[in-house]
Amino acid sequence: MPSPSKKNYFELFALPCTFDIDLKALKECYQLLQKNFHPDRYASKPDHEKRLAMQHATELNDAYSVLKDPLKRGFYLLSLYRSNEQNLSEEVSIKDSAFLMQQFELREALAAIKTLDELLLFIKKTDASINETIEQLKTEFKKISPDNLSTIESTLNKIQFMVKLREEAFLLEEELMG
Amino acid sequence: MAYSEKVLDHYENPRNVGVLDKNDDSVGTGMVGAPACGDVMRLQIKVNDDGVIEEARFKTYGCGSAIASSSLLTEMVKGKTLDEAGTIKNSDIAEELALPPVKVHCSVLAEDAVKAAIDDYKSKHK
Repeated sequence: MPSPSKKNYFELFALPCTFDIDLKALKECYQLLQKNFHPDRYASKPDHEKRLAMQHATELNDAYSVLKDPLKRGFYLLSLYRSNEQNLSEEVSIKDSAFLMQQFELREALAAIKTLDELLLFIKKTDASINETIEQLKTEFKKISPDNLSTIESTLNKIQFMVKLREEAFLLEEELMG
Repeated sequence: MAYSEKVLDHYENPRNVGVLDKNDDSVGTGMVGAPACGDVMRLQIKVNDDGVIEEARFKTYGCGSAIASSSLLTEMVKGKTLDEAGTIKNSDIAEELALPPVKVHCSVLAEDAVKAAIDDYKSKHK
């Protein structure tokens, strides 16, 4: 039984280190590996093997939850291209005022929504702009180089704001549906 | 997580919520956002002829700590000169509100917002 890997999350699932991954292949590989390291298979094995299997299973879960989510996958892939120092020196705030202004207006629009129909339309639009920005991110990741890492980071940050907006919209949906 | 009493007070009774005319020459507007939590904050100052901040307004979409930090900040900057307001540190806000370490970034956001508002005002008066 191998010890916990030093492989990155992509390598763990035998995927290329790219943003635009085959999600079906990811899921199939995850399920296969998860079966291999299932605790039931180690019930009669020595303790240290049980422990290792558990570590593998945990690592697989962590890796899968990151790779299946485009935003987490994007931030993770970006971190592989940067030094530890760069990864730690993240800015707390962004000041792209045109983008923030737009986000502000969207939050205000959301706060003014009174009916479920309006809200569903709002969510649909938000999803559309998230998908559009993810397409943009795909293109940026295809050209990844030391020169465009900050562009990629800023696109990821934008998606983060939109995802937050959608979460807020879902909360309101629950409220409106009673 | 439990909020301190001061955070709750500002959260439940936020001071100076609202908007000033961003096209007014005497108004400086700072917009900042925190990617980590998706919070967005707008902080505005109105400066009189003596260079003193006579009014401040904010609007924050975010957690209780972010709202409390920006609310407190609008109270702190009132009556201060631009230079004095520019020296306000996030630690002043975090201490006053007794923010836990995981929420200190909210006070950083507020400090960045007032700096952005001062910069915006100054860019109008070059």
